Amino acid sequence: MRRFSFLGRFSLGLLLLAAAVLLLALGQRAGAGGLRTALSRVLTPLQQFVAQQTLPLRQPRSSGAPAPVLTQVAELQARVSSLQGEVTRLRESENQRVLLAQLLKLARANPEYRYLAAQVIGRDVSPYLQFVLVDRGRTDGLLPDMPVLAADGLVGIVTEATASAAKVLLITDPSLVVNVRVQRLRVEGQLRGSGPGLLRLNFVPLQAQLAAGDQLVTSGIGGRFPPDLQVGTITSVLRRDYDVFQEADVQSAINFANLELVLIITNFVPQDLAPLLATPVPAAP
Amino acid sequence: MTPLLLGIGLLPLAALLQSSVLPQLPFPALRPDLMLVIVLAWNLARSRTDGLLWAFAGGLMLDTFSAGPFGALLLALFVVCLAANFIGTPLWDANPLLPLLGTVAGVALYHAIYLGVLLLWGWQLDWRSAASSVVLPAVFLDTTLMLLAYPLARRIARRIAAPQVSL
Repeated sequence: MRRFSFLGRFSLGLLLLAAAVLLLALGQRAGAGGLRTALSRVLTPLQQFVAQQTLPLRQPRSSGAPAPVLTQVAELQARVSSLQGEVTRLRESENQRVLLAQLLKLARANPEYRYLAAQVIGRDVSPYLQFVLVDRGRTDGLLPDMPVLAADGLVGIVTEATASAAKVLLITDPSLVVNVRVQRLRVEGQLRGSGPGLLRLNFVPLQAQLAAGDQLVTSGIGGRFPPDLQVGTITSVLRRDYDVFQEADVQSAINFANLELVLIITNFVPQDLAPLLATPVPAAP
Repeated sequence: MTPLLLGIGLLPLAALLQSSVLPQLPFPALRPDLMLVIVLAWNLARSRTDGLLWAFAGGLMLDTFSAGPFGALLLALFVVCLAANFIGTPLWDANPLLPLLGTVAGVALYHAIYLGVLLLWGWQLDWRSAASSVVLPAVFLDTTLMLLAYPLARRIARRIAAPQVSL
């Protein structure tokens, strides 16, 4: 009996293992993509609900009071607790108002774009990937490759959108390269994530006199991001005489760990430059 | 309550907590693999088919909340739980240190498989930083959580399931 039970478990284990490998191999193809969409349809509303309920976690909390020993103390504590709840709600409303005002200011500064505000409802469960999930999707007009901003600058790019949610790849992820320009010197380089919250500027010619405090904006080269969006500030420069290029550490003004509201530019069309960059084939003699 | 019902209630909750709540806590570096700890604890405490189903369902939920290759977290989670399940509860019960050692090995294997898949799929990662800033804290944190999760899982497993009688 026990042997039969083990064999059944063994068979189920191998079957599910094969299914896991198959799902991974299929990747984004119709079958696996459909499953992911179906699961997302069920779980995203729950995630939106949880994100709303846990907003107060993002606020600084006051220290706890000593344990009540008298009834009156208990009543007062209950009252304090109720008032603290009220304060937290008001503080949350105030924070939201400030954030929205900042986003509005940003939108007014770049009136040529159409924006869609979205709330961050989750983060990638993998600690290796720098993605956030937002509560807007295809039904709101979101499409992959749309640039995402916050009040303090560039956040990232939409990589995937379901009906009601979207995944945003942050500029701190090493897989996303942003072409930038150093505002003071008008020289260009490439910015790439180098870990959570960290950015590294590469491919800046050695002759350029980079300095801490230099501001970076998107250059628009490559056609993936609109030009002149604020990206970050250089904090330190790494220059070696034997190198062709120099590097610099860059600090974004955005606190990616506490990102709450973002703006998505919905009318920017990324340009596909690949056909123009193809190597020309010499004509046969 | 059957293990299946327990899983239906617990696993989506773990996925939601891991995706939406834990990243907001004051210490962003301390992000335990909550789903891994729960599902692995269940497989250590109860070597039955429901543990495998939990691992499969939990992995699918994690992949839904991840932008990585679909199936990568599922594969990593399932392989670890499959190994724990096949080794069997009698061995894990033999010494109180064994489940903890199993957790250390399991967490390391989980991250190794996941990183391996990302590497195969061509994802750009800072591997040295990943090992030092993610894997090592995760091993420590998940093993610490297992100190709570495993006894709880054992207690629940004993309460909801009658012992199997061999003939």
